[in-house]
Amino acid sequence: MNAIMSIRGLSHIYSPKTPFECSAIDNINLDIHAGETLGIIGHTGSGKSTLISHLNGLIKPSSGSILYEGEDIFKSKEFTHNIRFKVGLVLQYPEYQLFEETVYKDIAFGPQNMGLSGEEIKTRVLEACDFAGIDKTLLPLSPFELSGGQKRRVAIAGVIAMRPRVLILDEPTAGLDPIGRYDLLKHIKAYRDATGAAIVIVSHSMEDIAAIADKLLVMNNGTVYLYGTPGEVFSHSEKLLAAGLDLPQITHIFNKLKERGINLPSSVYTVQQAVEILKNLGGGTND
Amino acid sequence: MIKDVSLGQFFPGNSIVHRLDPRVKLVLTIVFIIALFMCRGPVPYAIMAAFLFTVILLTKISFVLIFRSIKPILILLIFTAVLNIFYATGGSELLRLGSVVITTGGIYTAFFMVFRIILLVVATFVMLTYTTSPIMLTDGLESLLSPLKKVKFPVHELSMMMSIALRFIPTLIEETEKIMSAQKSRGADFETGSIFRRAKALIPVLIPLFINAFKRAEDLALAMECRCYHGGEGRVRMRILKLCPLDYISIIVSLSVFILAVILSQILTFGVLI
Repeated sequence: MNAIMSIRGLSHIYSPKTPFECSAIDNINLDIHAGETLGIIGHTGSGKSTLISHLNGLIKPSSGSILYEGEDIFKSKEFTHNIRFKVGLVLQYPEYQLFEETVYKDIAFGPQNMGLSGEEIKTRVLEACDFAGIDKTLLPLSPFELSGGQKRRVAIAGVIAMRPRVLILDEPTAGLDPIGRYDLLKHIKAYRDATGAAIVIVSHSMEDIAAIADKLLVMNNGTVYLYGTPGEVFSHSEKLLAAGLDLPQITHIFNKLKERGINLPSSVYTVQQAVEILKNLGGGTND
Repeated sequence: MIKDVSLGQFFPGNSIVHRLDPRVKLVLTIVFIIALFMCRGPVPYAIMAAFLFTVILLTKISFVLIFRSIKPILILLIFTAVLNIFYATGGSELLRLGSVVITTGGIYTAFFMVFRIILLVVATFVMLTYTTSPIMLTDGLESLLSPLKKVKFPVHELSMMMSIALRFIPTLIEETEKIMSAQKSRGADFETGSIFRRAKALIPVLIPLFINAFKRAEDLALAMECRCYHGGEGRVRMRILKLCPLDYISIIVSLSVFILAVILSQILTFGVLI
């Protein structure tokens, strides 16, 4: 399968040649495929946000390259500008970027910058509302009247309205209640399934990552620490804990059970998997 | 991008200059500037430049950064130089283009004017902002201005406002960058188009920035009240400024250099001490 985005030897140094010089990421190689959900986890300051800010050309790499469908995203200013419509980036706490008078106008900001017609913009705004789970009665309201969770959805819809082929979200569930988190992840998944876009999601919550990701990238000190399917990554419990990261709750429980001598597989990371395994193990029924 | 502006930035360090009492640095900077304006002729300027050069060496800040700090005032320097070359008179005539005359005196004045501005700016940076944290600077200012309390001048309030303002400059810069990144991600373009278009492109940045700033001000006021802040009355300090031998030595050395430069310029220009 051809990768929609490839990252080759990517390094970034902040404030070079000053006392504040600091290497944020170092020699990252990564492929992102269409229809795939990539979860990025890592300790605070491990370079996650720096990495994703490169993907839509917000910051230029110190060395290395980023290819979108085989073309360098920095090959011309024009190209970098257009890449931002194909690689949609939702930054951390995106609700602080809202500025328009109405929710509708705010979601329309991206499509407007793409130079689309009024009719097309309308289609996209309504479509984005569905994908982000926004009630259409909110559209004529001011974004500043909404609740925190609703603002977050509006901000995400503002990026989805550009119909990006790669949707990147930096901690989209931070500060949301459990129902809000679950619902948001469900909507992101629905967007991927409906459009075949690639999703990149940065999160501190192992549960969220385990629930949504097909591939996991663990970053530590600006380098790729572990990469693989969630099953592969979560089976390296010790390595994850050593990097200051946590495991999904259910993986913790299974590790404890294994310590007590119960023979269980080590790659359990969702409750559904756990239920299946326990059912087979005891031979009992689920009632 | 915006972070790279080194104008008025603090560079943490532990050099002699960093450790000096902020009041000493404030006063010495002012005296340096006054002395600079009293200097005439190459020798006193050389003395002042040598003094500043030594201070830069002591701070251990790289010269690249010092040069970078001059960059923002480059236009001012060029403007000063051009203006003086064409309008200052004296000395012999070098070039005549119609009514425009360039004289040696003009070039001489232009050179010293530019040199003086550079010394002035670099001195303020090196002796103050680069080596003194904003908190220390406002503490020093409050202490220096405290006699004005007698005439009911709100010294504490002023310095508190200054420290809060200084404290939030980096936060606001960071936030501006974040919002700009977010809007750029939605295809906003801040770099091309006419001035009018570019100004308009800033609206999506300024609105969230102001809204967040007001919110933050409210939060800060609340947090301060929660910790029983009620102005300067009866407030004690965590850092108490106290002059140590190093401060006295710096004062004596610097003042002697300044006085030497000023006296020399009097002798060299007028032949006598007046």
